[in-house]
Amino acid sequence: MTSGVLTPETAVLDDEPPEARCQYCHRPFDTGRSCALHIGEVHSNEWTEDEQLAYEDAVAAEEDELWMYHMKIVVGLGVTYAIIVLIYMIVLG
Amino acid sequence: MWAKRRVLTIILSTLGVASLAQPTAAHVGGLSGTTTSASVPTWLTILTGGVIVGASFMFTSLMTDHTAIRAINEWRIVVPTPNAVRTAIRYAVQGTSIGVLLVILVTGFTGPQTPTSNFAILVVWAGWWAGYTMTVYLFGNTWPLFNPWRAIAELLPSSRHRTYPEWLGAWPSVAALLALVWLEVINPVAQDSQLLALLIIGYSVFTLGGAWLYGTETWFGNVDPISRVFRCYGLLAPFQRTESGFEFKLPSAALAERQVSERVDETAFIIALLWVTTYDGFVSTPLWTDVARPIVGVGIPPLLLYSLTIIAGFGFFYIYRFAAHQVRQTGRTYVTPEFIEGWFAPSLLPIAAGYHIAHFLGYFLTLTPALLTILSQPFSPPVNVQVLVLPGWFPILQLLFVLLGHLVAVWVAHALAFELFPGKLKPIRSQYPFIIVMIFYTMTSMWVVTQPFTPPPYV
Ligand SMILES: [Zn+2]
Repeated sequence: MTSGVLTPETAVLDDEPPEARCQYCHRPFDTGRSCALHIGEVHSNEWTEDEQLAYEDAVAAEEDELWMYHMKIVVGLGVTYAIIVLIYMIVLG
Repeated sequence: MWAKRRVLTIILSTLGVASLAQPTAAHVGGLSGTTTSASVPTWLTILTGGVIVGASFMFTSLMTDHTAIRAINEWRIVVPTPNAVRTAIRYAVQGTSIGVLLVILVTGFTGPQTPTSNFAILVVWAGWWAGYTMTVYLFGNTWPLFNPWRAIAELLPSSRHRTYPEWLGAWPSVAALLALVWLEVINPVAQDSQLLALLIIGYSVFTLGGAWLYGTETWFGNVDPISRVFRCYGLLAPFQRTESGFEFKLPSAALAERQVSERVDETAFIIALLWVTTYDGFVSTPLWTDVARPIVGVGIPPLLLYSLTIIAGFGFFYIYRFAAHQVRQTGRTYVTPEFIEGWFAPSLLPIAAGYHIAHFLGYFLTLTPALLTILSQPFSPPVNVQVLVLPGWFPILQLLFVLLGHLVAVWVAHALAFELFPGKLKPIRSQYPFIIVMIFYTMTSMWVVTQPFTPPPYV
């Protein structure tokens, strides 16, 4: 994606107005963090030093949130598995 | 193509193996309560399928390393193919496929009425639609090479009178696909070789006329539904054609690398392809018979009912579209619903292929001995034709194929989401609406597969 940057069609409808816009491709984002992540993923060959710092912060912040999210997922998988085993035990038992 | 289970029942009874007809028809037709493990009820099998799809989403959401996801999808081996070899193969194959088409037409009109002794019936349904289609999504799209109509059209002079209207896009192929499947369901073209030959002549006139008017590339690239079906299925295959030859990739990985949002007409075609596989199964469930009888009793003509149903089911397009709208909320993104719907559309293709293989592998294997016999002697078919009897566990394999298609779809959508949305949480959250739709589609498909085969009424 270095040569042809993917620019999806975007539209700001009746949603809340975007909090940030990418300065390179003008794609709107709901938060500054999303925008910082986007710049790091797509425009890392032309970004400024500030944007690089913002990207690193955004990645770190997301990692924390992702950890909680993954914990929930793991618990969810465990619960799902337990319920299915229980159903099989009831039905086949 | 979809009427094959009807055919099989007829085939087996005409062969006089009444004792075999019952269990084998049940195997090919789907899982009835007796063929699956008796202790696990159908509803639980279906529920388990839905849960596995949901759980696989949860599982893939643990995989958030963008580079790793890309590395898996980008892995490839390039197989260089010299041009001279390609050209030589091309002429040999095209000559052969034109020859086969002619033999199909001749045997269609003059061959025996028993479907298993008829070259046209066996080659078209078992050989081509069941067997060949599997090679397209399991290996690669060879249809541009094999397509006899393309070969003929290239030999004929082209008028190039008309320019193809841009706005029509893939819409004619959507309509033509639905029409072909509708024709197939309401007519016994999988049993009556003469009808089949007539259908092929009709298709040939339509196709060659169209290619003559608009040019070969335009016609086969836009309008011809069969070429588009194989092009779609070919995207799943490990062998992908490139400028320098071929490359070998992981199955379905090419889908995750598309980097384009399909146009709305192309999305509609993918949805139509998915729907027609389900439609074929659905009209041979007992539920359909129960629903259709009172409706026809009220005075609705059966043909109208079958047409309305195939059009109404295409309304799944709107469910998918609604899900794409919801992605804007769950993914908190400003990307337009139209772009989202086109972006994720290719992820539906593995589901269609999974359903195809679930439906046709058994049919293909059952008829393989008959197909091989008839290929060696097209004009003097033997009276006693051999068929293969499938083992009792085969229906479970069918369910696994349906499930596998959905699991691959979850993976492809996951990879596509990481390409489209920034960070790691947004791509995962964006998938919620699609996963819900997919769980329901899995359960519906599995339900259809578990239903005992019931011949569609009134046709
Ligand atoms: Zn940008």
